[in-house]
Amino acid sequence: MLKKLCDASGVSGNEGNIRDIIIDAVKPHCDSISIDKLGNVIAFKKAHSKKRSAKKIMAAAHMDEVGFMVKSINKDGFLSILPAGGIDRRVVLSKRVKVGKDEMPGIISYKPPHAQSDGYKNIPKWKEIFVDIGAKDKKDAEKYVSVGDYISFDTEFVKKRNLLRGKAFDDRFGCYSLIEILKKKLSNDIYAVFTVQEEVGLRGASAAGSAIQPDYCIVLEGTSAGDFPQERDIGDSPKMGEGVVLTISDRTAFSDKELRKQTEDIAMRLKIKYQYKQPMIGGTDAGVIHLQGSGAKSIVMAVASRYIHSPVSFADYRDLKGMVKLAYNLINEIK
Amino acid sequence: MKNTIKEITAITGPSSAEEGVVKYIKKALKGSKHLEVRTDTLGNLIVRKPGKGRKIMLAAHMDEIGFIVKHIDKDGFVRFSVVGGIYPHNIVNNRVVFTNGAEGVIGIEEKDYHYKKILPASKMFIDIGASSKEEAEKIVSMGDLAVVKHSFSQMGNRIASKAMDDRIGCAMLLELAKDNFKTDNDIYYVFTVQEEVGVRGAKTSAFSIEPDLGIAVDVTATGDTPNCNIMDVHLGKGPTIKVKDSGIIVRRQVIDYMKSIAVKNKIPYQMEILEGGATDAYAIHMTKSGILSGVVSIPTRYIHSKSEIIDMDDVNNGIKLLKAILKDDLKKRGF
Amino acid sequence: MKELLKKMSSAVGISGSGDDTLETVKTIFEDYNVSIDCDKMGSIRIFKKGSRKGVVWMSAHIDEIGLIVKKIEDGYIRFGSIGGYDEKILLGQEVTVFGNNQYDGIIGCKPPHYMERDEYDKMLGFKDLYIDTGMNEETVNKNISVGDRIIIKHKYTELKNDNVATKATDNRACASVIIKALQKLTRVKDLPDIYAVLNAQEETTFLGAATSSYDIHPDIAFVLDVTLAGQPGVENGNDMDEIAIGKGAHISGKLFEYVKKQADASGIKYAIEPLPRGSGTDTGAIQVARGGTAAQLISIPVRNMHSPVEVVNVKNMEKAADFLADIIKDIDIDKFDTEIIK
Repeated sequence: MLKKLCDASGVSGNEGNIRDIIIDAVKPHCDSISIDKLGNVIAFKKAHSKKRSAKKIMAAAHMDEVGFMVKSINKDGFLSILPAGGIDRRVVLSKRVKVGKDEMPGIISYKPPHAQSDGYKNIPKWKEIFVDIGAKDKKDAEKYVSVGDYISFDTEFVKKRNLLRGKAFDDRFGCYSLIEILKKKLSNDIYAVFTVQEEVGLRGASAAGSAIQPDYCIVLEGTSAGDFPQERDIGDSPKMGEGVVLTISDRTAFSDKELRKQTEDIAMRLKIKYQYKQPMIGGTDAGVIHLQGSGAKSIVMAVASRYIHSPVSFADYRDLKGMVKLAYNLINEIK
Repeated sequence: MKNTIKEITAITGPSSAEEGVVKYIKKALKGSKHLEVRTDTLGNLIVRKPGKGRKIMLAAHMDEIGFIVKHIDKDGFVRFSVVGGIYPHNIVNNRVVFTNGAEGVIGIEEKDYHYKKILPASKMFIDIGASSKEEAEKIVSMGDLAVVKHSFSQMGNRIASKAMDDRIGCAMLLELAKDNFKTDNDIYYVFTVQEEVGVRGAKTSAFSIEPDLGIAVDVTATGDTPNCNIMDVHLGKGPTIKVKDSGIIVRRQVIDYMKSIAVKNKIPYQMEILEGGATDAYAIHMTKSGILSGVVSIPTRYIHSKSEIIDMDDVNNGIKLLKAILKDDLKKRGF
Repeated sequence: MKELLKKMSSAVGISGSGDDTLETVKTIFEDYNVSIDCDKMGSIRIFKKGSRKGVVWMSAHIDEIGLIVKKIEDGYIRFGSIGGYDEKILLGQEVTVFGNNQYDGIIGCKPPHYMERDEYDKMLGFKDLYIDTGMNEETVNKNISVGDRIIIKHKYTELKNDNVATKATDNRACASVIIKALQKLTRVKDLPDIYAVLNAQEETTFLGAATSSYDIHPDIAFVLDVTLAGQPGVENGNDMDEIAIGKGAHISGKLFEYVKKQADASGIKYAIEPLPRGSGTDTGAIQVARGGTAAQLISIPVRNMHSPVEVVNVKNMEKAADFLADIIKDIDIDKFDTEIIK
């Protein structure tokens, strides 16, 4: 399931493939499922016991990943691209991609060093970066592609013992976790929401959040690991393999203090390793969900992944299992 | 009033840790039988003076800008992120106070520092007097919040302190709330949270209250210091009636109404156009189908520093203006 | 259409005070069976009752960018902007200041003859510019105050090939298109409820779109705005005789497919406008209002955007209005509704 989710393409605005996989997987386990006008999947599952919290609990993970869109086709049949979501343009050169509905193979191309006499050290601008699908010219390319088509990285998911390698860990890990949770018996009702367009401005979550107006909001994420080599001793958390990452605060939300305490207590009781993310970095769907209606208590959990928003990432499977367990138990224990 | 301002600005209350301010206001309102007091999900303190007439929401934010711990290095120095709009040049070598009472001094990486160049906060650290990581960890932990240390100067009619933004608004609302004046209006004094990180508390409280008129009471910049930006606001010439800032263009109806009240009651006022910056009114007026909203501001020099200066005349006239509005028959005025 | 654009673009409506636009719209619809009101945030709503279920919305923002009095210094007016004028076009413009009355003025600065050598090459911004009304200090102080609005004078000018230059083409051209489309739709029977909404304050915070779409809560929303047309310096701009159909964030994938299919069938000249990260228009606000709306952005190319001489092609507007009316006429609302899987 994890491989299926990570290998499928679902660039922001084009989450159909992911939606289909998720609906297939959760259909037998939910009481109702709908796709709203933006494309969010809203799955509702009732608690198996009568004793349940009167509060509305929403758990969210986003289906979309960063990628590109075809901006124009030039006369030689090369595709000009625009990024969908935050991508460092220094990481995209010479990578394999899948183009359009038929997922045609393509290559991200940039003029070779021999032709860079005017500026080897310049960072290529988006307008200098093209996707090559092997077309002869514009007319030929137009047979296969049109302006507005989506492009995603073409990376295969691999699991070796506990080391995971692949793309779109942000946030197929969250989707995977929610699916796993929905498969189990729950002691509270839950709205499990698989959102669209997180990477381009938390769009799906804004709409779904305003429709549901939850009291509690749990967001499951893949987040950027901080354990890269660095000279200065200024912070290296969260680390891959060091447990579930809890957010104290990021640019979009402060996790609710009591809810965070409750989560930590559960983690300690069940011996689930956890760690903190450095504050005030990044943002998630929680940012908009917790401000809907009269407000929600929110918490963000994540798996630390190295090199997110790039064609390939690393993560530790044990962290992911930990997140599923921790989120599952938190959902059950909200009063 | 001066004493209230001194006490309320002294409280350590960075965004998301406003509890100290809540406690102070609650205590001050003890015995005010005419009020209903509650806190909501995000921590906003909502004080209602019930009435049969129009609903007015007055908002002043309790939070102040500050710092959050993101890492403790091996020698016990604390690395931090900023919470809200901290100007790096304002904080070098400032004393800071954590929410648990611990104190520290902000230092800067000397190697990269030149007095002509302002470094970002990521090149600074807090020295909390510890000489090792272990020692420091006993004093603060990741996610702990701090603010600049309070000092209070009285210079004739003008006073300087940290956190005038927006404890001055809180002090004014507190003064008004204690006063059981006669009115039919249904008044909500809302002491909001997390304004400095994106007007968050105002958003959820305005949603649940849904007033007929919203007024944010906050600080605004001035244009009366040597060689300053173009702005027609002067310390001591009266509270301001906002025309526009980055978050709101106040509806003509609201501006004209506020002006007419000031003129009728012979209260000095100034018209305010603020370039850059927004207040809780931004969130309030965007709520649901829209809420007519305005802002009464107190002219303040050196905003977002440890020495924000206000003039007591402006504060007193601000209270007068707000009281006149609160006592007015808003139904007759088309709200 | 020319007449309509002339009327609409001449109305004054700087963000935050859309006042005489309402009167203009009322006159335009005098002979039509629609109801018109203005909500409290300043959005004008033209409503046509339908006989089928559902609410279709089309909108264009009605506010235009403008200037505002920030300070009066010795009888000269220091000013700032509402929305984003290019500061470089301001010097030497004739303006109208809306104080106690309307006052004419000229935007001036220190004359070149008095400039030091190193001042020549500097861009002139708001801090260097002022408005001179030619009146004495006392009169200015008495009649003009901080917060008063200012607009740059314009003259509706017809250029060759049905191109027209006027102020506020962004977005009165689109407002004219939806007005025309609604007028056409009043002659059609068996339609859902239709709202044509002229939103306030797009140029600043999308306030009008956010609040009016929350209020009306449409099932489907078509948003019209302007986009960059090709001109020297704008390489990938759209042709003046085509419309642009947005695709990407803010836009419903299903609705896009429908609009594209209709466009192909109708033969209208169009381009797809790729907007992977959103559009900077009202569309984003409407998309997420109250549980979400299926929204589609359709754009009309304009040259010299954010200047008092924005150029639009009137024939293209006419085609856009026909197209908009057609896609609304043929739409099956249920197809875009929330889909119940289980």
